[in-house]
Amino acid sequence: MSVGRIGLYIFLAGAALFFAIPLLIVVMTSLKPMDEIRAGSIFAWPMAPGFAAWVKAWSSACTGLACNGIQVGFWNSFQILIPSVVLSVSAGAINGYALAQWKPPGANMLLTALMLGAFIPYQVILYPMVKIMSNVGLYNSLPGIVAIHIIFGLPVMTLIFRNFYAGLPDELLKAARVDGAGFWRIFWEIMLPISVNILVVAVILQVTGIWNDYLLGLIFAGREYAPMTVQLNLIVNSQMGEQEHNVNMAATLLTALPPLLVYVASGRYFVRGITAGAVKG
Amino acid sequence: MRSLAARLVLSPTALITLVCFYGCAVWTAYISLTRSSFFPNYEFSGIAQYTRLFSTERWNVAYANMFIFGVLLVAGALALGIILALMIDRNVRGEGFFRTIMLYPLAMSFIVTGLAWQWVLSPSIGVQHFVRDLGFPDFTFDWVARQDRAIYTLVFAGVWHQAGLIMAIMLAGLRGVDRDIWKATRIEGIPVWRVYLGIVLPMLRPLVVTCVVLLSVAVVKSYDLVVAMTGGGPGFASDLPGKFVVEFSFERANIGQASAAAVVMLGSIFAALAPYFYIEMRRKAT
Amino acid sequence: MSRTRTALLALALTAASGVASAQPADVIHWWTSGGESKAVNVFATEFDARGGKWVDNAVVGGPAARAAALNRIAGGNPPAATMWNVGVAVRQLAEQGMLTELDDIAKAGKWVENLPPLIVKNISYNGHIIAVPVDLHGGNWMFYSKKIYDELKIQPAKNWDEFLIQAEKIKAAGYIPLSIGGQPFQEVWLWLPVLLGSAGKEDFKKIYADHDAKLAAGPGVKKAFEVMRKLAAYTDAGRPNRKWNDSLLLVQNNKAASQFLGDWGKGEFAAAGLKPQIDYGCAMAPGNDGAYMMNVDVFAFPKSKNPTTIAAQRKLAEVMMDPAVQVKFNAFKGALPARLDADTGALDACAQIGKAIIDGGPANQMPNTALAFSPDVDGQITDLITQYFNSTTMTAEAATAAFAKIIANADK
Repeated sequence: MSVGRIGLYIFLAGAALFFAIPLLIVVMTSLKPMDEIRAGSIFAWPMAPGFAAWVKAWSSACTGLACNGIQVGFWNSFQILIPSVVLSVSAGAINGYALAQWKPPGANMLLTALMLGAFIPYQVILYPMVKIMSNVGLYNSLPGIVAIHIIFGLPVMTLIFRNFYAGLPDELLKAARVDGAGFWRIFWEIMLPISVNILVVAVILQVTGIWNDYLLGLIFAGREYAPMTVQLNLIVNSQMGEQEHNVNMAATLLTALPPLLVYVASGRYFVRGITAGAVKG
Repeated sequence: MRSLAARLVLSPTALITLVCFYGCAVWTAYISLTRSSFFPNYEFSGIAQYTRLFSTERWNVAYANMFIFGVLLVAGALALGIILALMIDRNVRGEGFFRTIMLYPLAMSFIVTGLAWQWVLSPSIGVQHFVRDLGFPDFTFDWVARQDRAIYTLVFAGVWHQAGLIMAIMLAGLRGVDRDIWKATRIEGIPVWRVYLGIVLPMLRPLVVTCVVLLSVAVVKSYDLVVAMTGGGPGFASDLPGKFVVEFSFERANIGQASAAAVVMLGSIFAALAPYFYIEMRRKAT
Repeated sequence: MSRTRTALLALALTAASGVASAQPADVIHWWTSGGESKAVNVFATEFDARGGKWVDNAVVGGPAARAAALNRIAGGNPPAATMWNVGVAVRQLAEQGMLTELDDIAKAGKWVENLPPLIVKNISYNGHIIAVPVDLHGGNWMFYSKKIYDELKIQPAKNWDEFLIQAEKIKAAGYIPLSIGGQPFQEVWLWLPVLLGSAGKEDFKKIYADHDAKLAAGPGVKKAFEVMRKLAAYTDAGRPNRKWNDSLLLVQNNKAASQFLGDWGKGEFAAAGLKPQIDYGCAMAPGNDGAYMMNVDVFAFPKSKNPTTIAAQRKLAEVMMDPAVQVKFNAFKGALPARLDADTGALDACAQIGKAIIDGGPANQMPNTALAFSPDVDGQITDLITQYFNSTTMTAEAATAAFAKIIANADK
C-alpha cells in the first residue's frame, strides 16, 4: 500500500469519526439509565446497556394526556410518506423529462421560475396556503398534506431530473422518434430504465425530507394524521419535567429508522456502474 | 404540435408554481406594505415596515449571519462532499460503510441530533470538558457561548448534515463517467489528479449546480438547525432570517414585520443567484 | 337499494345523536408535561362528568400551539377552545370579532367581583368578557438550595446588592451562585424581578402598566441594567441554549444556589419528590416583597355556528371558572386559582406566601410583560434584554436609553 493510500484511509477514517460522533452519543445515551446520564460523561460507554428506554419510547412515553409512545405517529407517517414520495418523484421525473428532452416553448422560463420558487421560504407561503387548502376543502386531511408535500417537492424534484435528462445525448430521443415512439412510450421504455440511479437519489431525498418534516405536518395534517415527528417533538420538547434523555434519544432513533434503512438498502445502487454517458458536458 | 404532450404534462406544474409560489410571494410582498399585526390587514401603509426592519439591530445581525452562514456552508459542504466522493471513488475498501456513515445525518431529524451537537459543543460537558479531563487544563473550546463565534458552530453542524448528500450525488456522477476517458488518459500518462480537475469535474458541472442549489435551499430553510443548536443565542448573535420570520409571524404576532423580513430575504437570495443563473443561461444558449 | 339507504340513514342518525348527547369540544393547549397533563386532566374529567366530551389537542410549545390555533381559525375550522397567555394578544383576537362573548355566564358566576382588576381588564374587550382565566402564576420567585444556604449560613437576600455580596461568597465556596439557561425568555424572567427590586414596585407598575417613558429612562432602570451585568458573571459556562428545567436541576442537585423563575418551577421539584421549604427554599426575589407578578393562562372560545359546539363552549367556560375545579387544577399546576374567592387552604407552603401578597389588594398585583404590552413590544424588550445580558460591550446607559425608547413607542 502506498503512502498516498494510507493518507487516504486516515483522512476517510477521520471524516467517518466526525460524522459518527453525534450518532454515537445518541445511541450510547439511549442505552443508559438516567442515573448514569446524570453522573457520567456524554462520551462514556454505557456500563450496562439496556433497551428499557427504547421500549418506553415506542409504547409508553407520554405526549400530552396520551401515553402510547411514538408508535402512534409511525403509521400516520407511512400513510403520508408513500403517496407523497411516489407522486412527487413521478411528477419530478415526468416534468424533468418533458423540459429537458422535448424543450417545449417556455421551458427555460418555467425551469427558472421553479428554481427560484425553491428558494421561497416555507414561512412566506404558509399563511396563504392554509387559506388555499381550506378553500379547496383539503385542509387538515390526508390528501391535503400529501398535496402540500408534492407542491413543495416540485422544484427540487424537477430540477434534479431535468439535469439528469439534459445530460443524455439528444440522439437517444431522435432515434426513438424516428422509430415512431411517442412522448409516453419513450419515457417508459427508454428514459425510465436508465434513470435508476437518479431515481434512487430522488427517492432518498424525498423519503428523508418528507419523513423528517415537522412544520408542514403540524399545520396541514391535522390531529388525526399527525406524523411521527410531531409525536417526537411532543415527547422531546416538553418544556416541563426532567428531560428523559435516554427516552428522547431512543425515540429519535426509532423515528430515524425508516430513512436510515432506505439509505443502507439503496447504497448498492451507487456502486453499480451508472449508464455510460449519464453525465455530459 | 410535436410537444403537445410535453406542454400538457407541464401545465399543472406551471399553474401550481404560479399560484402557490409566486401568488403567495406577491401576497406576502403586499402584506409587507401594510400595518398587519395579528391578522392580515390590507390597508396600504408604505415602506414603514422596511424602515423599522433595518433599524432593528436583531434583524441586521440575522441578515448578516445569513451571508456568513450561507457562504461557509455551501463552500464547506461542497468542498468536503467532493473530496470525500473523489476519495471513495478511488476503490477504497469498506466503501459501503463509509458511504452509509456519511449519509446518515440526513436521515436524522435535528430535533434531537441538535441536542447531541449542543452537548458536544457545550463547554461544561462537551469537547472542552473531555479534553481538559485528558490532562490539558487550558484547552478552551467555547464558541457556542461566544457572541462572535456561535454562528460558526452552526456552519459546523450544517456541514455535518449536508456533506454526505453532496458526496453521494458527486459519487453517482463520478461513477457515470465514461470508462474510455480513464483508459485514454492512462495510456497518455496523465496524472489522476489532473484528470479529475481538468476533465472529470468540469463534466460534472450540472451536478455541481444541483448541489449548489440544494445547499442554498437548505441555507434558506435552516430553521430547525438554529432552534435546536443555539436558539439564536447567545443573545441573538446566531439568529438567522428564517427564525426571525417564524418568530415574528407567530410568537410576536407581527406578520407585517415578518413579511418585510421575508421579502428582503427573498430579494437578497435572488440577487445573489442572478449572476450565476445569467452565466448558466448564456452558457446553455451558446 | 332502499334497505341500504335506510341503514345508512339510521347509521347517520345514531352518529348524529351520539354527538348531540355528549357535547364534544376539541381543546388546543400546550400543557404536555407531567404536572401540566394532570392539571388539564382535571378539566377534562370534570367536563366529561357534566356531559361534555373533551377532545385533547395538545401541541408542544406555546408558539406552535398558538400557530396551530390561528391557522385553524384562518382555515375556517376553529377549535372549540384554545389556550392563550392572557394579555393584549387575546384582545386582538376579539378585535377581529373571532371570540365568543361570555357576558351572561360571567355575570351568573360573579367573575368580575372575584378576579384581580388587571385580569378583568385583560379578558375584556369593548365591555364584553371574552376569555376564561384559569390560574394566577407568580413570576417573581427565587428558588434556592437549602443545603447551600444553610451551609454558608445565609438567608434569602432582601435586595439585589445583598444578593450580589452573597453571590461572591457562594462562588468562593465552589457553587454556581445563579442558575439560568441562555434562552431569551429565561433572561426576561430574571430581568423582571431585577427591575422590580431596583426601581421599586410603584415605579415598576408605572413603567409597565402605564408605559411611563420618563421613568423608563430613570435611575431605577439603569440600576437594574447594572445589576443584570453583574449577575451575568455569576452564571456557569453551560448556559447557552439550556432549557430552564435543566437549569433548575442544578439547584435540585445543590450544584447551583438559586434560580429566578415563576412558580411553575415547583412542579419540577415535586416531580423529584422534593418538598417546598424543607428540601428546597422559595422566597420572593430580592426587593420583591409585597409584589406578585401575575402570569395568567386563559382559554378563549372561537366563534362557532354549530349549536352543539356553542353549548359545549359554554359548559367548558362554567367548568373552568368553578372555584373548586380551579383549586384542584392549580394543585397540579403550581399556581394560585385565578378566582380570589377559591379556598386555597390545601395549596403548598409557597402558594400560601403568594396568596397573602395577592390578597393585599391591587397595589400588590403586578403585570408581567404579556399583561402590559403587545406581543410585538414584548418581543422588542426581550431582544434588548438578551442582547445586553450576553454582551460585554453594551453599556447600562445605552441599554436604558433603548429601553426608554421602546416604552415611549409602545402604544404607537
